[in-house]
Amino acid sequence: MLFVDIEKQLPHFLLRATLQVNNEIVVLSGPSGAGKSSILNSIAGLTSPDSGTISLNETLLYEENKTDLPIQKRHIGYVFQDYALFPHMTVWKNIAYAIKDESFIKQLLQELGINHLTDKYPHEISGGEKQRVALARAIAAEPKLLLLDEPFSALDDDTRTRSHEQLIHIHKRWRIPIILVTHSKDEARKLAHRVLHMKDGTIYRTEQIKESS
Amino acid sequence: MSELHLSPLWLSLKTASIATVIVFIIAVFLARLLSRNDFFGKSVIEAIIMLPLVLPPTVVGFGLLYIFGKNGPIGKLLHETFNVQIVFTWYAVIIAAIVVAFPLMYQSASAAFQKYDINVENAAYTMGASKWRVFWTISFPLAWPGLLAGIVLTFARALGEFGATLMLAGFIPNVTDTIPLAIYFAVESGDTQLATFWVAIIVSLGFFAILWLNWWSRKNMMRYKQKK
Amino acid sequence: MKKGTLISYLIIFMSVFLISCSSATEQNDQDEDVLITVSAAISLTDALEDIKQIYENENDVSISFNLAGSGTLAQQIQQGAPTDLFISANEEWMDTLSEEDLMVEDSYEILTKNKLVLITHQATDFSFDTFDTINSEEIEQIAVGNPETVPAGAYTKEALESMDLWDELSEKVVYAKDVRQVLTYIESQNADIGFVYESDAMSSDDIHIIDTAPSDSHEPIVYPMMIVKDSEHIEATEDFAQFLTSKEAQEIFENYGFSS
Repeated sequence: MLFVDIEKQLPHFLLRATLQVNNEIVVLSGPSGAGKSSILNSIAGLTSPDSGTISLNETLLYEENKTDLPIQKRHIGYVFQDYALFPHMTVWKNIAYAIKDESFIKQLLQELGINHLTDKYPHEISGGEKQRVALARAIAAEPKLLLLDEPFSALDDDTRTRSHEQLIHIHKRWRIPIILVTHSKDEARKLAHRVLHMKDGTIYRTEQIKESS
Repeated sequence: MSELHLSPLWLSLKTASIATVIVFIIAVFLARLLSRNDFFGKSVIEAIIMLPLVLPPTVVGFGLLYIFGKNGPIGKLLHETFNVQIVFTWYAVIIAAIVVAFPLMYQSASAAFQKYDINVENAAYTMGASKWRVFWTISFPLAWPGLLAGIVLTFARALGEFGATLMLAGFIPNVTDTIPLAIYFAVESGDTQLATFWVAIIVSLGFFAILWLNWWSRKNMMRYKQKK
Repeated sequence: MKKGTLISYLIIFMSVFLISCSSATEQNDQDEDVLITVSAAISLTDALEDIKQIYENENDVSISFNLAGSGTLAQQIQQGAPTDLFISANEEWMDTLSEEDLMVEDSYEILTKNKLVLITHQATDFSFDTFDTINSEEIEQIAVGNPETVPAGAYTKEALESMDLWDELSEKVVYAKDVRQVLTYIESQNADIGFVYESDAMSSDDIHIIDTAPSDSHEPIVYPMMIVKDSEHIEATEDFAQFLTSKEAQEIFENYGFSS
């Protein structure tokens, strides 16, 4: 379970977010610049909030003036908008960066349907394939929480539909909290258990879509 | 042409190589440290780093003479603790080259570390990699083309350094006579043949270093190509 | 936006350039003074500036100095640099130019002379106080102008050789590219002793003159001057050269440590 209660001064407004995520898929929805990515970055440890607390399961990740756990020790998977694959490594090496267990990597590649790409470099594969490699890479580190920042926005419709199904599958299989940032209302309804609507740094509405399993 | 001694060639190659290695190590770590962090006073530090680029080398040499000289703060310390003298030795040649070439390496490295997507590093951190590991496996290889350009520029600049070297190292045959110093004194004493010989050597060294860099980077730019 | 600023910079740059060009030509039209270009050994700078002031006030002539080492100046003249009068710090370069028929034949004149002195820092104290008693054990580094390129260095070598000191001292010698650099090494106390002209030593407060070299230990140190054959103002240059040898000008040289 993830618990977040933070404040952070951003250039144009004050970000104030209180949220709790259980073993469910929560979608952060809202216009660009509403502070969605800042929440993800604060959780992952890429930036520090000004005040508040963040905790994941029993671990305190952040507490004002006391704790600010380094990124490496947070065990949080992050799929970036541009995927941020290591451009100088093959798909295999991208995933193996997190873990040594070869059979686990093979299994992951199989499950995400990218086992034919192992020797390819990121610039040699399509957008949908990159997205799956990024997802595989994030999961390979066996995170306790998965963050996805608009991972499907650059994909065509068919690929996106397939990716949606994959995400649902992954959630069922690994049973960890997932936070997904998206612009698309359809995507939010389809994937989310809950949707948190954001504007100017505040969550102004919570929408329950379905019960978490 | 008076009797030809090749010592300037070996001395120049030796000192320029050592200076390049030292400059590379310091500039890369400093650039990595400063390039992606903003803090108070950063622009002041960067301005100081870039200063030798705009100052006339003789002025740099004059400053170094007073820092590393017998009564200078660093010169005195080195002399008293290690009994090492800097001025008028080949250490001085290296120090002059380091100071004058440093801004070029720093500039190249700083640009190289800002060129790739920062989230590539962040992704590696989220996968549990240590800072050290991320530096060696992600940042360094991604910055390498830019760093290599910096190395070649640094080496070329170190090889051609004259003003600061002459000031700090003086001219002592077989000890501090680098190619540029040899050229200067050959020209001044009217030994055109000797001057031409050394000019030809240094021109070809510089020319082939840069030619090789261009060839290499064109070949390697294809590999890391990153689509946005 | 960026392109816009670039273009406006270019426009500003171009207009400044054009304005400065046009004003330069205007000046040339109005200015009817004869301009004499004097290439002179850099050690004469201060004295020559004083003389220039006096001469320009009394005559409708502008004097422009090109100051560098004698070797550089001579090579500039060899390459046809527009020069009217050449004042060298050494006879050899003057001879070379004369032999190449670049100078007006009868215009040779010795402008002034100098002395070679042994110097150290004000704060340093050695047991010796003459040239021939220099004790090399007390000395770590000696600053000398490169004998191949700096006349003062050549005279130093000659003087020390005549006293049988050169072989012993040359191991400790650091060669400087000019006399100014020798002074810097002494002022910063990185070299213990140095050899310069008396006029140079007098220009610095930190320098102590230990001894003057005996005049028979080296060729006389003279500053010869000659008019350049290609000069377009030979008469005006002759007048200025004559003024340089006048009593008034010679006194100024003496004030700066030169000897007549």
